Amino acid sequence: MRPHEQAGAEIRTIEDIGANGLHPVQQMWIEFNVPQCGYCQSGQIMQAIALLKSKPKPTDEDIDEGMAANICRCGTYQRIRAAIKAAAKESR
Amino acid sequence: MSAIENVSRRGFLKGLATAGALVLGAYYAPKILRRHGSDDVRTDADNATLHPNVFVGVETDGTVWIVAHRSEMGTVIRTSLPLVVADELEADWKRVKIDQAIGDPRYGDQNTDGSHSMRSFFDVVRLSGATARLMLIRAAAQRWGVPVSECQTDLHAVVHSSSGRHLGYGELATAASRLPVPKENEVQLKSKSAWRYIGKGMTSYDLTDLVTGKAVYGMDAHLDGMLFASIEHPPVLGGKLKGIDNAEALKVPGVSQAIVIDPFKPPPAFQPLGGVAVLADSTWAAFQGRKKL
Repeated sequence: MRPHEQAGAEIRTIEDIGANGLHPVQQMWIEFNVPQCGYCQSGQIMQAIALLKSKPKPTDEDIDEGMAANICRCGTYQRIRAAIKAAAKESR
Repeated sequence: MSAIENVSRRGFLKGLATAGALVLGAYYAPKILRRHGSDDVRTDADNATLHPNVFVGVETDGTVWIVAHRSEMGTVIRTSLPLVVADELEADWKRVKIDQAIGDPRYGDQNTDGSHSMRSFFDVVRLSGATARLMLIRAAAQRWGVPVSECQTDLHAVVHSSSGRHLGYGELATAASRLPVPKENEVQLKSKSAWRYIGKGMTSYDLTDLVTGKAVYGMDAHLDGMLFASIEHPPVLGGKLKGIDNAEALKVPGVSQAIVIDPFKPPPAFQPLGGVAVLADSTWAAFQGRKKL
């Protein structure tokens, strides 16, 4: 979908999410040194924020399922999982 | 081990005339560099006051520019090679700025593949940083009128411990730039036990940019009138196109052309696999057009 085809919908972007200080998920991404090339990470972070909205305490299975559409060629999945769990802890 | 040598007499003179800088190249493939050596000032390191070789520049305010001459593709080489330079230079990493090099023969081989950037350039970039460090030490020794052997470096400064004097790299940059660039055999590399950054598990220089959407990729490059392509490849390696019906694809708004890419001549190696490329004014339109082939 292109943005202009989403009239009326709320769209949040990676630029917006940290506009007034880093989002807790971004902070955890830094703390766990998640990105390598970083190409997929904007999508990973937005997906993780959406996941935590619907599942504030995600299990490994929740994370695997919720993040499945976001592929990382560098293979940062273990750190992504750790960062999501830490962000979940942080926001409680 | 590769050597550092003067790239060109002209670059040397031009450097002296402009910024008091010397233009030299640390290289991987000496013959290639000699043939294509460039005098162009293209990086911030090239513009810096002390610029003993293509990889490093020291400004009078203490900013250290380090050139990343390889392509970042996820190994964080854009950070790790400059860290090696910074280590040998004894630079404070917080005051280092990384300068991304474009393709330029003066850097030697820039074909980034095979995970060999560190193996191939470790010695070269160590020498690059250590050369700048020695020039800063010599400048300080000259200023204080003491033997070079009595001076050491300690995180972005040269110190003379017996007299308690020290001078920051920024303060020494101009004086150091007037000294001849030392020959390789004059330069001493740090001992392994003195490494500050090498092997210490530092994080990416770009970490914050990577998590805030600020990092810029090839995909972000936009030129006027640029088109986007989506390619339908043959379903099997070496498959050849029988025919093309692009009528429906061309009806998709934004799609301008569907062009045939010739199959490769065996062996495939790194050649394009052939197929049909749909060109459009956005990636989305190109994707939609390709589905209509």
